[in-house]
Amino acid sequence: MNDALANAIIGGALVLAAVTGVFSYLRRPTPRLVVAAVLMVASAVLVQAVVAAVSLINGERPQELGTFIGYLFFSVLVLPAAFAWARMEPGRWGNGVLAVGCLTLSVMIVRLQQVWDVTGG
Amino acid sequence: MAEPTNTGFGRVLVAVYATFAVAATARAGVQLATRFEQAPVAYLLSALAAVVYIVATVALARAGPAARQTATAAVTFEFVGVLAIGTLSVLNPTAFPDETVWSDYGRGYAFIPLVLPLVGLYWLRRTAGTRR
Repeated sequence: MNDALANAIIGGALVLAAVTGVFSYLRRPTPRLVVAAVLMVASAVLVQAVVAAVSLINGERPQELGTFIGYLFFSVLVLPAAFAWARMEPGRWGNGVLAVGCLTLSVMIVRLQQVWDVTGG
Repeated sequence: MAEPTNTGFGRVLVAVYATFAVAATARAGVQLATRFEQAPVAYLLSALAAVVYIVATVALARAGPAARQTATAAVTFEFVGVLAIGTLSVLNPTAFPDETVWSDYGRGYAFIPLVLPLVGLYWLRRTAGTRR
């Protein structure tokens, strides 16, 4: 696991959760720049998943392998799913869905790091 | 006229329910697959929680009276479940050797599992239309 990349994703996701939260409060559609930032974080998650998968193939093993793979798999899906669900209702509630997605992602990446740090014997 | 449960605030609610459906399913899946024999009852209850979240998510995401009934039943069951499992896990921690979504009233998930069914029931009532 690349800690710098993981921390960047967590930070980015938290900032985007706050930003989409504000646009939800303002009842405004999500600005294109924010949408681009969400897609950037989603791409970073994909890169991280590939990096982690390569480490697994190279023999590194977290203790809870199943849990780790579960988090890795769903971390890739969460932003695309939130994005698709949010798009159907731009404005207050679409932004709300994006905020939930970003918060969920940040928690998942924190858990992913925790599971990875407990390496098995 | 009853309003759909899947738009407006309901869209965010469905997103949160979907998150818990995935989290509970993944957790129960790992528990059942890797250490079922250590605590079969606890892990089966964990799987039951996952099923309840899946049913609630799908029912809330669909419009129509049948889906509304299903959603009300699932969310009510969810509330009873989190209270029951929460109480059991506090009184008898050894029966629940590791976290399920409903352990300690959902403490591992910022107590969202305790609040979520109340929000869900409120939303179902709020969108129910003329029936009060």
